[in-house]
Amino acid sequence: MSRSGFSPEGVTFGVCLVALGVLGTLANLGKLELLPLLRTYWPLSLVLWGALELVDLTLRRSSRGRS
Amino acid sequence: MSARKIALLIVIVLFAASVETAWNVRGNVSIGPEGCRVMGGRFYGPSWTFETTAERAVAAGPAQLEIGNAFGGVHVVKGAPGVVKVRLRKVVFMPTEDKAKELADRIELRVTEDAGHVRIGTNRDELGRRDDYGFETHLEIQAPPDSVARVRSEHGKVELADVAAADVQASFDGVTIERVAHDVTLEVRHGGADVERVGGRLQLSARHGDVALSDVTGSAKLDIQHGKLETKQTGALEVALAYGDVTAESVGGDLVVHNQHSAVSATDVSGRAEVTTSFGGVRLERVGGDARVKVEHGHVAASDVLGGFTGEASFDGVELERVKGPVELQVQHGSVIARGLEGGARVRVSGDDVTLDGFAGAVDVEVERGSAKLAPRAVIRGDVIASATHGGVELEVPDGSGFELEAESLRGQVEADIAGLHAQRDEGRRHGQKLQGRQGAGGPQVRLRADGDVSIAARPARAVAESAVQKPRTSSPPEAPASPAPKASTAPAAKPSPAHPAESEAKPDSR
Repeated sequence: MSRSGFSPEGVTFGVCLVALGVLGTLANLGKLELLPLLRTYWPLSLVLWGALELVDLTLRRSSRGRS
Repeated sequence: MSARKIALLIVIVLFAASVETAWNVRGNVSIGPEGCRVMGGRFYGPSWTFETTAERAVAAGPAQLEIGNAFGGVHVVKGAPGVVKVRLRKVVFMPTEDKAKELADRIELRVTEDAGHVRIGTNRDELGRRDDYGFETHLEIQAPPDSVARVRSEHGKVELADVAAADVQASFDGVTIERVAHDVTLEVRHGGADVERVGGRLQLSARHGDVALSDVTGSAKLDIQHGKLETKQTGALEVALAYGDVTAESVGGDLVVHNQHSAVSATDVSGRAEVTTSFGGVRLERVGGDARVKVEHGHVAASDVLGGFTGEASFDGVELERVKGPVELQVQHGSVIARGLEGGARVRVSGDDVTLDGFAGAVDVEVERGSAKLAPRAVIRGDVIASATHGGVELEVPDGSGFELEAESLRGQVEADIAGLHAQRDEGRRHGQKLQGRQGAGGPQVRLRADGDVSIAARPARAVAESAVQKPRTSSPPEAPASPAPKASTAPAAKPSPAHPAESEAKPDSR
């Protein structure tokens, strides 16, 4: 656990699970096709994770500067 | 880097690899339309159902229906006079409702009428078969009473009821036909057939499926491969079957079965029974006429035969009980056990024993490598001739019998323990014994000859069989719905009306 109070990988994993569940439900309802969507957009999970790591790093640096 | 981060990275990479693999497999392996098409011609995957209905007026009286379909069922029931009503259920296998609706709109129900012939089908052939979609078309038809139905269907179940006559060709699913007033012609491949209450004749050809018939008034001619056959209350039956057991109950006429590689069982046959098979047994109970059986590698059992019995068997035995007519048997490598033969017997057996317990009339028995035991039970009134090589002969003589005796044992002894026998022994032989003489007042010839011992013993006289030969318990099948006989064509429709299609809401299916 980072000192900034949140875990980037935990948030990423949770968001991905939520997204996967929502997309699977919509696919079962016939609103979208799951496989092409996942194939196209799965790298966004890496983008999300990287962004959260940057935020975490920034928060930790600012926390060290104040102390 | 922490273990959690490494684990998440591995999860994402594995997930991405799985998606890519699935995508490539779907793109390069033809597994069906937007889902998975499996064996048997059925589609699986997300599907959507749409409905169209149409109706067409026809001339009063019987209608000639010509129904064509593929990948979907055909269900015909009796409807109102003068109109044919059709409901088409379109099941479209697509991942989304929008795409399914788009395809469903292109699937048309076609009901046309020409000189009394009503043709029912879809435009499936025009749409063609593609790998990126699949759909089923199920036809539900309400036909005027006494219609004649001609159905050509593939990959779908056919259900037909309450028509005057039927001519059905179907494949890759089963066929059910009920309550047909006149003749039925049925050809089914890769599916079972269930036919009930046919008022006329039945001609059936089936491949790879079980067949069940009941209450068929007319004669039935069946050609079946790879499936078992069960019939109840039919007219005369003629069956050719390759790989499947036959069970027939209550046959109102002759039964002719040419079977291969399986067993045959028939009860209550009012006419004659003729059965040929191999590698399976034959069982006949209560036959009204002659019975003729030929079996290789199978057991034969028959009881209560009102006519004669002719049997050929090998590598298994023959068991008979209560046969009124003459019996003729040829058995190799099997025994014969018979009780209550009222019309005499001619028996040739090799490799096993013969036992005749209760018989009347002339008996002629030859046994090779076996023995013969003869117990007439009733007073002997016909010739009794028996010979056994590498075995003995036993004869039980009922009290009151009279006959001319000649008994010879080539290597053993002749024993005769009966009162009233006047006979002389041939004393000058080096091997064996011979006894010749007269029992009582004489009469028919009794000639017994064996390599082993010959034994003659007295027994109290009784009836040939403990009970009389039973007649077949056949009852006439229930009447099929009465209707006039179908004609080749009907009069043109008085006021033909165009089809009136109507779409209904789509319903998501799961399969």
